[in-house]
Amino acid sequence: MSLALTPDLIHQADAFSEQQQRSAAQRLGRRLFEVFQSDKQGRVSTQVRNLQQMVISATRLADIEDFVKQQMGRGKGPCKEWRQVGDEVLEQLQGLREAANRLASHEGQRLALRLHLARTWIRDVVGAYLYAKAQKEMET
Amino acid sequence: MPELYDVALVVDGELGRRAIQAVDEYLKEYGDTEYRAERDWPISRSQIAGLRQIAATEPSKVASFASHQQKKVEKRLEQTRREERQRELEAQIAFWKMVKGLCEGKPPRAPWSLAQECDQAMPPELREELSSPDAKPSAQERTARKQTRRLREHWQDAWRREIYPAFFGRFCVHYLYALSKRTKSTQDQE
Repeated sequence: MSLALTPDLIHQADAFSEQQQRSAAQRLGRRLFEVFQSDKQGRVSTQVRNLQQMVISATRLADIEDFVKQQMGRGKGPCKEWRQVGDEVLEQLQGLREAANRLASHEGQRLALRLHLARTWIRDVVGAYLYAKAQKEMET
Repeated sequence: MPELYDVALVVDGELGRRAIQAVDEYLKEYGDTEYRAERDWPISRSQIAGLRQIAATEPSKVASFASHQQKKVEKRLEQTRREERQRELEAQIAFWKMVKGLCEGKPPRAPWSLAQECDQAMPPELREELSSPDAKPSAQERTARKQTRRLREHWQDAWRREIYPAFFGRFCVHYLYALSKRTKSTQDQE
């Protein structure tokens, strides 16, 4: 059974995100922009939106990891782009998994904490992606 | 109906890890470090899609499906003389054996399987009671056992319907991911 997160755990998770994860997440967001750019109408890339939606709606971190692997393992579509950036995404997700294991001792709390960390992480990733996109638009 | 244990919890933890580990161990033993094209994979993308679909729609049939696939390849192996082809077919046989073992392997040969996991997760009141062969149960006891057996089967079915799609989903995605990374032609498409 999944357990509710305590304010203390949330505080520790947020401190981890800010101190140890944010710069890597922002680097990844910039990398996602290099790889996926914007769509043809200049909007946020569908792939980035799909990743963001997956993280928001996932009930377990494994679903997010599987989404990335599925994109990379496809024989067609945007698998080429995903193979350039997917392993870095998976590594960062693994970092979140390890942090949740360190911070919580109950499996139910770990599950909830992984999702909490992932949602903070995707905000940083997409924020950096959007910033890179805006910069590019100002240049052109 | 007894409450099933939290699917998200087990799939995100131990079970998911087991699915990935099974693929990695298989590829370590039977996989090549590099493939020229997808057609050289031990198990094709469409077979993997088939496995995933059966796990999602008919989870109780995954083991018999794997067994059937294994027998088909064994027949082919009997008729094959080319050594290279024999090795390919042996890798396919090992894959289907692994899938069957993941479903219903028993110790000591298989230290872990989904069947063992299901037994462990089962509420104690549904577990089979071992009685001595000489014992003669009363009519009332026989009815109670029959009722427990029905409940147990119902519980096992529900467990498989929840767990198999998630377990084999993770297993299949990881297989396609790992092999795509080793395949030259999909990289060339880039």
